[in-house]
Amino acid sequence: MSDETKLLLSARRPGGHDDTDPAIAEALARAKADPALSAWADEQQRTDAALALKLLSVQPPAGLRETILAGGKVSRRGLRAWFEQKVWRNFTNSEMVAAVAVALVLAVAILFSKNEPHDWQSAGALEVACIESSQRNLDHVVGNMDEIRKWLAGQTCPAPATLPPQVRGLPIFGCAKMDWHGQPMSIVCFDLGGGREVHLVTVSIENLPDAPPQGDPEYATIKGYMTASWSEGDVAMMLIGKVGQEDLEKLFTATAKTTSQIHAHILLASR
Amino acid sequence: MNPDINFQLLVDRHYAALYRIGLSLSGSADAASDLVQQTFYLWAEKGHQLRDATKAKSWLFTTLYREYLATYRRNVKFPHIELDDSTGDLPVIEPAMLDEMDGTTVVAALTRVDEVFRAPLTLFYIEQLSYKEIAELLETPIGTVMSRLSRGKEQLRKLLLEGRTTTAEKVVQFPTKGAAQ
Repeated sequence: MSDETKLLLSARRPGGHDDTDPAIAEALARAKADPALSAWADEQQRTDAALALKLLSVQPPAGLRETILAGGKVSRRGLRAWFEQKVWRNFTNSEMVAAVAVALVLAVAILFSKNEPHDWQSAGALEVACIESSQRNLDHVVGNMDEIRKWLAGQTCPAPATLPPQVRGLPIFGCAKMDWHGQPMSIVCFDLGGGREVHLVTVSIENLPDAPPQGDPEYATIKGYMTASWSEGDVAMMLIGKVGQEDLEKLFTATAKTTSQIHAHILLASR
Repeated sequence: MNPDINFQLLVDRHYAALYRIGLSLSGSADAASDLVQQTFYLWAEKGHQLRDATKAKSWLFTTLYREYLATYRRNVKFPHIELDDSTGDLPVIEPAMLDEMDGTTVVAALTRVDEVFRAPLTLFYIEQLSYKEIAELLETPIGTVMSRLSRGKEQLRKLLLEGRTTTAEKVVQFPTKGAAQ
């Protein structure tokens, strides 16, 4: 076995994300012709995927997020310095009482605040928020669903099953891929008109502990977005957008309408 | 689409991964929290200077790593280790054994991996960066990153196999997903 091939295969991330990398693709081709090397590479991938999942299960301490958000401009180092300088000694009794009361209120708020959900829908919603705020780019900019399906297949990323009836006619911006606890997910972005967007997030239901039901979608609000989630075949999907529930419901109706009719309908409903 | 980089969105998206990386690098839950807070503090101070919003993620990870080097390794000189490219047969961890391990055990083992291997390994497993992205972030040649990943994995597996029964007793228990929910 070539050491260089092993080095390349060892640097390959779980989930096939690097399989289009020319050097790794070449190493994979060599592994295909060598059963022992192929078995070695498979074992690497299995173990790496398992170790990555174990590490991802470690959660930040409760309250860290709130502390960052509440005191984004006060670092711990700053707090340490504050305590070291013993500024508190200059406080009056009433200021000390007020400070303790604020600390208690914060502690109780943190104690009873819900932890961030770690489900695929929330992860998808965060990614959608990043796309909408331009914090990340689309991975493939193309306005054709067939092209998107082909591209996703090449990326070993799940593609949507049947599109909801009224989504089929919407203009497409493109798509993005993401990773959720080692599972690839895809996001297809549609133009809903009136400056609004909807996104279709797709993940394989294999190893998904909380797959939505097959058939009719379940509606929920996640991170400020209205979502409709359902499963079809071996994938779970979530349609998500900064819209009302009735806007999403309309996209699931079988009534044939042109894109401009849908846009007009949604615009009227939003007024 | 709004070009502004929203602070809360940035925190929601990255703080957990930054915490895990800080924890794996430092081995201390307090130090990891400190590193994450300091990183976002620096973002609040300097992040607006970043013109390309898509670079926010690598900015945060680079900043956390630099803060770690500056704060927690101030008195430790970077060891110069000559690495050969040979990849010995990695010790195999049986799937059943992997199933039994929890995140705490793996983090504890990772913190005991030689530091020169730990940073690339952490970015590979936790942030799932490619070897090219790791090389860019750590400003290290690609070949060296590959070598370090391979050697780091070898060390990690040995540590997991050798110290499986004792490691958990030695380290502070970190909150895991199940415990947090």
